[in-house]
Amino acid sequence: MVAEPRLSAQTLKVLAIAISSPQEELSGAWIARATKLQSGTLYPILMRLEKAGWLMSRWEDGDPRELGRPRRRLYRITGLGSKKAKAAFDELAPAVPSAFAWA
Amino acid sequence: MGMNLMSVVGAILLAAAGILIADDCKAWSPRLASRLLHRAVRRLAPDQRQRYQEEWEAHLNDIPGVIGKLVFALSLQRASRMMADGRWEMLSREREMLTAALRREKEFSEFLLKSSTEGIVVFDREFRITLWNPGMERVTGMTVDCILGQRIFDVLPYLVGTIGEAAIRTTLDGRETSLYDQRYPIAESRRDGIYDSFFSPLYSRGYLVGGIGFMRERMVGSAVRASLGHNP
Repeated sequence: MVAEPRLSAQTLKVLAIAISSPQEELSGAWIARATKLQSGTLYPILMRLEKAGWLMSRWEDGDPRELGRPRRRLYRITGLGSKKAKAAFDELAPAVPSAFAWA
Repeated sequence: MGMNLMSVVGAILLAAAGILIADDCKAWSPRLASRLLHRAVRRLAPDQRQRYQEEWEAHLNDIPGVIGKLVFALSLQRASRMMADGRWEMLSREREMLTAALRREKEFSEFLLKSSTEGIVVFDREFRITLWNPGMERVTGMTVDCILGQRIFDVLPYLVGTIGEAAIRTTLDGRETSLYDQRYPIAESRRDGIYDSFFSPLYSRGYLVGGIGFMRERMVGSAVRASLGHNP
């Protein structure tokens, strides 16, 4: 059984970005820009969220030779992730109402 | 006037040096960033490396500036330390420790084999020699390079038909044999030696895999005993 990810401020930032566009697939670079998180913080979070089943990822379509660059890994929030994130934000909302105005 | 000229020249030289350094940094930074990325990837568990190699390369590719790329690659060092599977790291450390212990043990065994004044020979079930220590080299005058893999009876033909051959063959029946004061005419060392020899079967995981023989030269002792009239 995979442990639930620790909901640090940085993890919540990632979840907020993911939940704000649930149908969209986001690359690591895009999430890093949006959250302003360094790769050293971002990728461990992405890995933990993916392991917990809150995020899912896949390679973007296309051959790297045709794209002329390495393929991006695209992340999307799962149903479970969405539910868990909403619950976490609901819990936090009364304390910090303006910080996570995602909904 | 002179001071002004020197200032201008100094400024030009500084600017030129700056341009050169900037060019150099520009040329080297992609390589440095790539090296840092590889280093971070190597820290991950083997089944994760390919994925993150490609994913991080794509991310690196999306960063426009040289400094940004370097900061990203440096930051990956922290990421990989946090992402490395603790169990994998522990296994790696354990494997390193075990390898070091095995190496020390092997070195110690080799040290013992090399230091032994006794000749030590190991052979497999086909009587092919798999170990021939310096003691055997001294006894026989034959070096390990031309001995390994050869049948012991081809290397030491004077054993054939003697109690020595019987003793060696008996090891493959799982029995130990000790021979005392055996005289062997060893042509290669030009020594007509008298030896005590001990042969034992060798087992690996319960299976008989060959035999080991120890040869101890007895020339001095035998000569003394003979002169004292105690020759057995």
